[in-house]
Amino acid sequence: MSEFEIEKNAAGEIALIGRLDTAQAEKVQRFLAGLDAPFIIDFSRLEFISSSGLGVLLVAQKRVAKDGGVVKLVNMPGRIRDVFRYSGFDRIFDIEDPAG
Amino acid sequence: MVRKKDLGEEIRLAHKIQMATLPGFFPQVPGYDFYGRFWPADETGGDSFDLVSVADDTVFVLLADASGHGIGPALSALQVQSMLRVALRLGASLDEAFENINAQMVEDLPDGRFVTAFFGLLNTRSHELEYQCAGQGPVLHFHERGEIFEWQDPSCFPMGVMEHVERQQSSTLALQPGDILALISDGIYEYENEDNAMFGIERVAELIRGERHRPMQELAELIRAKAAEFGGTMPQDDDITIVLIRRQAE
Repeated sequence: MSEFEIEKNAAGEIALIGRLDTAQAEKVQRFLAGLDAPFIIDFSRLEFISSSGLGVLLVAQKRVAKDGGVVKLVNMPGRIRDVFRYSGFDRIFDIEDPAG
Repeated sequence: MVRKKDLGEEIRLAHKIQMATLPGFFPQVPGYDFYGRFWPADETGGDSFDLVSVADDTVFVLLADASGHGIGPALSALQVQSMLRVALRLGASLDEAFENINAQMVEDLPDGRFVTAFFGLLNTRSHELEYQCAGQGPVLHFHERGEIFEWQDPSCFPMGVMEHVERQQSSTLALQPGDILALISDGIYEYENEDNAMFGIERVAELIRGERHRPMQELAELIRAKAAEFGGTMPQDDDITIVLIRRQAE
């Protein structure tokens, strides 16, 4: 079974943990819909993201962008970064790559 | 109300219609070997491809992958394929077709849904391929000379995400003798084994390099078989489509 969790720390930063597959996408969409911009999403513990996962991030990004807000994606592991690169989504999202 | 048994019948019918839209044979062009195949994860899948002669010396190439899999994405992939076929038949340029079809998909697709697509026109006389790549990366171009791989990133985000601020200019690549262009959906690259390791681009590249002298049909079937072998007991979780074009060595 794939395991997935969403965490929000005291600073308001969100972490996606585990495998964000199609079955989990709706849960993330509901969670992000309740947040005010701007927000930061930490990807350091995300192992997998499906196209449906990209879709829910896109919905959040579009909602926030309407009011001039930003969704920032940080600490992406290489394999997740490749998914954004090869799908062209790195041209839409504000991705902060680790220094060095 | 549709009964469960009837629903099964309907899905099988949808599968039949979808598969009928894929090319049943490939362009027979001296000096080229074309092959494409779609292996859906469900009875219907969100991938589509095309490989068809559209004019003298010109072959239309497409690989499209709608987010998710099942009937909804299957319809979206089919919609893109159909609109492209008609646009090109009416003489639209790739850039015009892309701009207008993208705008239509923005209008039609539900929030958060999108279609990645590589599509292009290969001139089999000049050996140049003019293409657009909306989120359908990586594009693998194997150069026989030097036996090197070029992995192209997409030139744009997927279709249906948002309208383009300005018209996207197509790109061009040239196929030299022995070169192979490989369009492969993420169902191969992201095929996972029990340890959640992915099959990945490097394994695909090594297979193409080592087995490139086989007919393209054999090579495509081998790539799919090796991904399944890598997956071990893990079932195919995503749609798989492989489109291969080789310009024969002289």
